[in-house]
Amino acid sequence: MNDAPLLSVDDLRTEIRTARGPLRAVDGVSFTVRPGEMFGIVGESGSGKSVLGRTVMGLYTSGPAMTVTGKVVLDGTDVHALDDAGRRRLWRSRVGMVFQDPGTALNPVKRVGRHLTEAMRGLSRAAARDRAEELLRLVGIPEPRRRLRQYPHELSGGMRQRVVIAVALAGEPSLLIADEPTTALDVTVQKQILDLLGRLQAELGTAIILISHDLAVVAGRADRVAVMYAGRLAELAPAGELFDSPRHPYTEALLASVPRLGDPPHSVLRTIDGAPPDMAAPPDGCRFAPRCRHASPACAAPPEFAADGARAVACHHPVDLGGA
Amino acid sequence: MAGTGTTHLRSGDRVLSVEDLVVEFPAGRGRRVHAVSGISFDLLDGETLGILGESGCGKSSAGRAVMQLPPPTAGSVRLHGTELTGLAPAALREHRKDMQMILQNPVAALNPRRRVADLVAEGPAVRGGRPDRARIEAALEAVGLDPATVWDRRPHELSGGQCQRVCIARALMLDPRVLILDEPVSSLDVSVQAQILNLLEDTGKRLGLSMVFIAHDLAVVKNVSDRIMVMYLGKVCEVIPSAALAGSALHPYTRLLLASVPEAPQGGAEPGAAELPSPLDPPSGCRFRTRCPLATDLCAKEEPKLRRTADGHHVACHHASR
Ligand SMILES: Nc1ncnc2c1ncn2[C@@H]1O[C@H](COP(=O)(O)OP(=O)(O)OP(=O)(O)O)[C@@H](O)[C@H]1O
Ligand SMILES: Nc1ncnc2c1ncn2[C@@H]1O[C@H](COP(=O)(O)OP(=O)(O)O)[C@@H](O)[C@H]1O
Ligand code: SF4
Ligand code: SF4
Ligand SMILES: [Mg+2]
Ligand SMILES: [Mg+2]
Repeated sequence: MNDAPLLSVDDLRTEIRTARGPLRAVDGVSFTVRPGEMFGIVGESGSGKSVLGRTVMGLYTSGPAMTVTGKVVLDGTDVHALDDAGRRRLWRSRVGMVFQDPGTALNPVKRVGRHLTEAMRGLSRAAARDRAEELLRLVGIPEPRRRLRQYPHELSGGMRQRVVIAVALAGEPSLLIADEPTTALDVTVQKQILDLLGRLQAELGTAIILISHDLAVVAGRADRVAVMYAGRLAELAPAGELFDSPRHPYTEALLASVPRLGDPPHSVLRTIDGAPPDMAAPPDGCRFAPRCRHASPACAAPPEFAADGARAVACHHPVDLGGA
Repeated sequence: MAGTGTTHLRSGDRVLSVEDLVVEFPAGRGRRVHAVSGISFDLLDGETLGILGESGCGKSSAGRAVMQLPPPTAGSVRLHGTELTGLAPAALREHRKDMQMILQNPVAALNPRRRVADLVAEGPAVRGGRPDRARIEAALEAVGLDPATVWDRRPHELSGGQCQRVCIARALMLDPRVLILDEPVSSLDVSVQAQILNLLEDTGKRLGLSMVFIAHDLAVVKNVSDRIMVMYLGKVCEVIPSAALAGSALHPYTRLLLASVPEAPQGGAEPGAAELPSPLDPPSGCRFRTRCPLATDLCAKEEPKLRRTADGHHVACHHASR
């Protein structure tokens, strides 16, 4: 019934070796992304979003520092079965990544133009320059020809993030992973960047994984949203349904803790008692149990991530639809 | 230097009053950064004023200048009627003790080598006499920390939210009447942010504190404030009762901010796509004119002054109207 997925992630685990023992930053995550879809991932800091993004991207692979198990299949290719050269080829041709901090993503001693042309293949110098100019225009940078000759420090934060996005688009990827692309930016610039991502999705048909700690950023843009807690997915649902009727107690509590412009001043905010677990020694069973208002003895066993139509939730006692 | 006007200042019992505050920084080759260019505001007893604006608009510079850290380039800062600018260091310390500042990065604000109990005791200890254990415990409990658990810990052994609680406990040990909070929740996760916002609300009410709450998140500022002052490039654009922010804001910049929050309806024109002008050489007249959809010749010639449009609502714009 659905389009064949562009990306499928199956039981992915990333275990990082640390001084305090192995840390399961990503611990059994499964989801799919359809071609052209905007897929949101939200969660609080330390929940594993960035490690997940980097593992999906193939930037984190098994080695002395960490162990990766599970599968990441992009358009029929198993990312973790490739050698380094194969992975580099894959990034250049199929996947682009945009990181949180536009300041460090660009090399300060390289001009904007170099960043762009280095991400291209098999074009003459003149053709590459034209293409670079076209990419800057695509991401809404005025006077692209002049900007090509500038260095990153000559651009504002918002401009730099546009350049980073243009670099990620240079290989015409079918998937763009954007990890907190607007977290370092002001609201007015954030809106411009999110509008740009939406336009790329609509016009180029690029599938986008939009990672953010900010529920509102993801709410208005994503088709489907996954909520991450302590290395696992708590819930996955079409965006509207997730925000209107969360089923996981964590999603519900998180939504209630955000102040809203429509609420009167001095409204009391709902809080979630306690703190997320230590990822080097997470609790057995449901990881949210120590903080959950609905916890019962059944929650000592880990809940399954159970699908129900278009939604899935990992909870023994999901919040009633339309209730609560 | 002309200020943005003072029609929004009130008479009567003001805990803090700031007039025509100017903060400039030397920027080499005789140039100056115009960080704050003549802003005024006041604070009634028990009131919370929110200061809203984007990065670089001068919020922190204004907050620090009120604390005299460092003193402003020009302007007046009166706390309980006493002028703080120009006071000698000893007199300044004495008169400023009713006012405490809390910063955005709670971990960096705390000395990493000291233990929580010492950090909390530090303020009173500097003034002679370490407070007794019971008082430190009470301060920690007041901010929702378990004294037994955190007593001997150092900042790196605490979460960001716990560090911010320690900072608040530390400030409260000095019995302040006024808190200046510079982005106190910006580095925290939403669930922790909610805990700290509720804590500030409770504590403020219980102790009858007045607060200046600086932040860039509109919903957060609205949640904590009675009155909101919107800043752009060192100037005041609008002063508005918090409850009216979402529905009645008139200044084109406030409206741009409201239209940019992710939960706002999408689409429509894309106003303000232009870049923020340099604070080294701000635009003449109205500083927002390079991004303003309503700008006219008048806006380049003449600086708009705050004018009253409703009770407690003041707008600095030549053309905004309801
Ligand atoms: N010590 C300094 N020397 C030179 N310029 C400074 C100094 N401190 C601040 N500025 C400049 O003054 C202006 C206002 O800065 P300020 O830190 O007050 O902004 P802000 O509104 O607090 O921004 P943010 O939201 O990023 O914290 C900026 O242009 C900034 O670069
Ligand atoms: N290179 C690393 N070495 C050790 N621990 C790491 C490393 N990267 C991430 N972690 C840990 O993995 C967990 C998930 O981190 P991350 O994916 O960055 O979270 P998020 O992006 O959701 O804020 C955290 O506990 C973090 O401290
Ligand atoms: S499984 Fe139990 S503890 Fe976990 S979220 Fe559901 S109700 Fe709460
Ligand atoms: S004074 Fe002019 S430029 Fe400034 S906000 Fe009003 S209309 Fe816009
Ligand atoms: Mg991250
Ligand atoms: Mg600041």
